[in-house]
Parts: sequence; structure tokens; C-alpha cells
Amino acid sequence: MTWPGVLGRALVVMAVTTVLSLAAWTALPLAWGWQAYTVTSGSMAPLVRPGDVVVASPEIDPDHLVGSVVVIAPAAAGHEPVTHRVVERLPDGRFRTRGDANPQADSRLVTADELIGSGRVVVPLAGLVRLHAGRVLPAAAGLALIAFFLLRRRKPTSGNRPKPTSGNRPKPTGGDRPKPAGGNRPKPTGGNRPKSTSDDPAGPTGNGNSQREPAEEKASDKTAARPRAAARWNAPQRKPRTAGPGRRAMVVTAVVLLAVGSALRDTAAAFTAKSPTQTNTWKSSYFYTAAVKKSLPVSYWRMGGTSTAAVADEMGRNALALYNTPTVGAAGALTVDPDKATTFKNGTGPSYGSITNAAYAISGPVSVAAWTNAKASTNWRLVFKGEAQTGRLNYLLSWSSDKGGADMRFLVDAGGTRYETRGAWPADLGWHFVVGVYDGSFIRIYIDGVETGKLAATGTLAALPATPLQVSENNASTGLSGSVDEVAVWDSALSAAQIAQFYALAKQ
Amino acid sequence: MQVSRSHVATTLGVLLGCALTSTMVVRTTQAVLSGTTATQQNTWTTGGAALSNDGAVSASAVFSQANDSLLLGGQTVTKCIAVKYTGNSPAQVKLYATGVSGALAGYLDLKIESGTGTANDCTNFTPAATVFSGGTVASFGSGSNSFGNGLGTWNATLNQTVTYKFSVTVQNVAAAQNGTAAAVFNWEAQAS
Repeated sequence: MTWPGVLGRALVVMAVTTVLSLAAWTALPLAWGWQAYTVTSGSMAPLVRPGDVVVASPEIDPDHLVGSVVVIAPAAAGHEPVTHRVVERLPDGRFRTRGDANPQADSRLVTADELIGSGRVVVPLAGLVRLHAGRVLPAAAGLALIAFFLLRRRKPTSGNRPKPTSGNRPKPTGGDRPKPAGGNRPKPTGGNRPKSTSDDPAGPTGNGNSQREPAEEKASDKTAARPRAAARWNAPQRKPRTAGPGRRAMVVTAVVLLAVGSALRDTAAAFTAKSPTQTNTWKSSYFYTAAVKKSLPVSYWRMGGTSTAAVADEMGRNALALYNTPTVGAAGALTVDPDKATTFKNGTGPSYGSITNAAYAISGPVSVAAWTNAKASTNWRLVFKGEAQTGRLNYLLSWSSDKGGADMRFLVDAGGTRYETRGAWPADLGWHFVVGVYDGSFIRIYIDGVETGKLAATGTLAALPATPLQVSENNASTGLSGSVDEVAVWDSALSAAQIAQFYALAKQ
Repeated sequence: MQVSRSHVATTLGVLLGCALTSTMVVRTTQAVLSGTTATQQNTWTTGGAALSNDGAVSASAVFSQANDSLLLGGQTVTKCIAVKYTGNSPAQVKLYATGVSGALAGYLDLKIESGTGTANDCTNFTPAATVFSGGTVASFGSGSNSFGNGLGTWNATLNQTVTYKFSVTVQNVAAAQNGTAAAVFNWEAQAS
């Protein structure tokens, strides 16, 4: 063998050895129960790439997993296991994992029970065939190689040709045997066979007593008994077959690859990327309050403060001043809303609220609303914008005097005429909701969300800009005794639906 | 005993092959399993998956009291968020919620549609499919909180954008009053 031949043979053997030993690295651990997984994607790159094989042991030590590469059971049927690295153990015992090539950790937090393997060995490239050809192709290729080998081996031994021996076997010579074409060297034979100088791995093994004979010899032996076969076998243009060890290596390699390929399981090292929004936040209101504010009253005094001097305007305009120290902090009218109410008292030094501002001098449509639990005995004022001295008024919510406070009334002076509509005030001492509305055509009164009275009315209201708007009244007899809550004034006419909605929301 | 060149070649080849593979396996295994955490200089930007969404960069694109004021019973607020996939590997994108909190979440009816549109206020949104409906923010968060149970059928390719419309309606019930809720909507892409 020439030195180039030696080098070539060494390279071939090295290549075969490389393939076989990679397969061995993959296959041997399976003998003691480890599993081999072909990595199918690159999220563990650059250290683990698609086509590499991760050999994992089923023994998991949860206390020493952080930093380890683990194989995670599929999240759902039909999915592949995932091979990622444990980056954190959470207080609840679960693990956070991440692919080395992923910018973010996996969203799925896994329990120890979901870990099916702990990475022990990474065999580079060992799964390439499996990765790129799946299971079918390597299996088919392996079977084809086996079949090829077996068929080629069977031919020379078929038939009943005489067993050649070194002593009586005809010895082909260069003169009487056709030379193979294309540089094929003549095959050595028996005892006078020249020492092989080729890299043919199936060279002579003995001195004419070889148990394995070159195929050409066998074919030659068959010539006498089977001329056609011999002619075909000995055709000069036919290239001599390579000898056994090379084919054996091929077959062994194919079989090993086939076996290893079948034993491998796929594992996806999925690329993942997450994109979260900023935190969305929602805050709901107390619905009654929000609905009132949304209806844009001129002012809305909730009457629930702790100050005995003034009540803030929810609409940000004008606080309602309180006089004679009404009581604050009484239970409010709204079911859910814990906001409090203000309690007024008539008689000597009556307590009341008052604000003088042109904003409440309303000449067009107007709505006035309030909650109270007062039970009047005469014409107590609830919301009053008028002049007690002259008797003129812009608008007024007041109990009736003629029935001993049995009715609640809404009054306006429109076009120089006094208009009044009324409805029966509930007899109980609970909270009730009253709204008076003038829309330019009618005055209406609503009690607890229901219209209880209306009267046709037209004309411009007497605005009385210098006259204060009062809650209760600075009057010992017509001021009220009781609690008042959620007072609002609109320079528009509320609809019946709005008023019903307000009441419903308050009573939720 | 005579050692032929053929034997020398075979032996040399076997030794070199074994040495090569052993070196490959041992070095790779050591590198991978040495206990180091994930590499920071990774390759995800040139391969794999990458996602972005309006709601991650623009405060006006998400629900908030600043954007929507205090919510009333029966009120519906909407937001449209465009999600862009910029990964090189085709990926499946799922939507799910995390960080869902607050009693109000159980009273916020949620509907999620996917489609097209660029405006965060949904003025030019054109729906194509309903991703989620018939539940609340809370039920969405409990049922879809990871890629595994995330919703959507978007198989994303490079530079593809899908806009998601979130419609949140406050149930008009007492228990929904004066409540708070929070949630983070997540899109996750997984490319195999």
C-alpha cells in the first residue's frame, strides 16, 4: 500500500469511526435507561444546535436543577418535548426555564413532575440524519443497504460450483484471463497470488487456502458449469467488486444509524418571544355618582364631607356653604356608595346650605334633584332658589303645606306665572329621591325615579341672579329637619330615562 | 509480527475518529451542562422569533383611568393594539393574559377580535375573527395565561402585523361599583 493509500484508508476509517462512535455516544447510554433526543430547533444555540442529540437521564434532582439543561414533557398531546435550561426555581417549587437563545424565559412554568430528563451528554451532529430525513428515510436507506449487501453476497455462493482449492483450482494468468477494463487490476489468486498493493480491504487472507475468495475467482470457477453466467461475471468491462470489510463497515454503519435513528426522540428547543402590553388598569366608579357627573350638572354637592362649613362641588364650580353647623357624617342615601349625608335642623337657628352665584340663576330648562329622608309636617324647603320676602322664585322643591307635608312639589315662575306640580311623598322615613324638571313645555316631578306629576308650563324662568340657592332654608319653620344627600342642579332638562337610571344605580 | 501499512492506516483512522468524536462530545457537553445560565449574547435577533406591540410602548394604547376615566356600569371601552412579528422563523402566536388582579376583573366583560387597523382608538379597525368572547377579564386570565392555553390562530411570518381589538364592558351591577382591575395582555410567538 502506498502512503497516499494509507492516508486515504485512514481517512475513510476515521470517517466511519466518527460516525460509529457518535452513534455509540448516543446509543450506549440508552442501555442504562437514558433517553436520547434530537434537537430540532435552535433556541439553545449556540451551544446546542439543531441536529445535535441531547442524552438525558430520567433521574431528576429538583434541588440542583438551576442552570441545568432539562427535557420538559410536552405541554399537550401531539407536541414535542422541549429542551431548555432551568433559570429559576420559584417559591412554589415550579421551575422557570429558558432557551439560551431566547430573550425571555418560557411562559410555561413547569413542575418537577413535568421534567422528563436531565441533560447529561450532548452529542453534536448525531441527529442530523434524523433531523433532516425523519424516521422513514434512514430506515429505508438502512434496509436498502442491507438488501444490497445480502444480494451481492448471495450471488457468488449460489449454484453448485465446485469448491475451489489451492491445489486443483485453475490458476488464471495474465495471459489467458481477460483483464478488467478501466484500470482494474487482475485479481490475485491462490498460492502464486501477488501481494496486494491496493487499498482493497478484502485482500487475500491466506496462501491459496482462503475461506473468502475474491469474487472474480468464484465467478471464474463457475464458468465451466454456467457459461452464460461466467461470461457475464467475467465480462472484461465489468468492474471488480470491492471486497468485504468495506462493505461490512458500510452495513454496520447503516445498521447502527438505523438503530440509533429509531431510538432517538425529537425535542423542540423552540424559539420563543413575548410581547406584553403595559399593565392595563380599570377603575369603576360608584355608578350613581359617575352617572350624575356624566350628565353634566351645573353643580353637584354630595353632602358627604366632614366639614360643617361647606360642601365641595363635584363639578368643581362652587362649594355649598353650610350655616349653623349642620350635622355631617350621617348614613347616606346610596346603597353601595359609603358616602355620607348632611343633617339639617329647623327651628331656632336652623342649619342650612346656601350658595349665591349666577350659575344657578337658570332661565331656561332646569332640573333639580336631591335625596332626603325628612318627613315634613308643612312646606319645608328641600332645594329653594327664591325670595322669601317677595315670594318670587326661580325653582323650588318643597313639601306641601296644605296636606301637612304629604306631597312633594316642584314649582317655577315661568313667564310671570307660578307653575306647580306635585306627587305623594312616601310615608316611611327612608331615603327618597326627588327630581323637578322644567323643559320649557312642562314641569314634572319624579319621586324615586317615577314621574308623579306634570303640568304644562311655558316661558322664561325668573332667574334671580342675586338670590341664593339654598338647601333647606334659613327659616325656623320652613327649613327642614332631616338628612339630605346628593344635591344637584342642571341647566338642562333631564329625561325620564336618566332619572330612572339614577334611581336604579343608587339602589343597586 | 509484521504490521502492514493497511493496519497502520486502519488503526490510525480508528484512533483519530474516536479522538475527534470524544473531543466533540466532551467539549460540547461541558459547555452546555457546566451549569452556566443562558447566554446573553444570543442569536435570537437574527433567527427565531421577535414580537412587538403598541401597548408595550404607548401608554395611550392601553386601558387606564387616565385614558378612560372612571368607568360606569354598562360602559364599554375599547383599545386596538397592533402586534408585529419580526422573527425570521415562522411562528405560531398566542394571546394570553397575566397579572390579572382586582375584584372588578370578574365584572369586566371582554371581547377580543383580530383584524386590521392602525388606530389605538379602533377608528379604522376591521375585524376578521373573534379571538375571545363570552367571558370576563378574569375568566380570560384564568383560562388563557400561557402559550399552552393561549388563544389565536395566527401563524406569523416575518414583518406580519395583526391588530387586536379589546372591548371591555363594565357589568351594570352593584358588585362592579368602585372596583379596580389590572391585566397584562401578552402575545407569545413560538417558532420550532
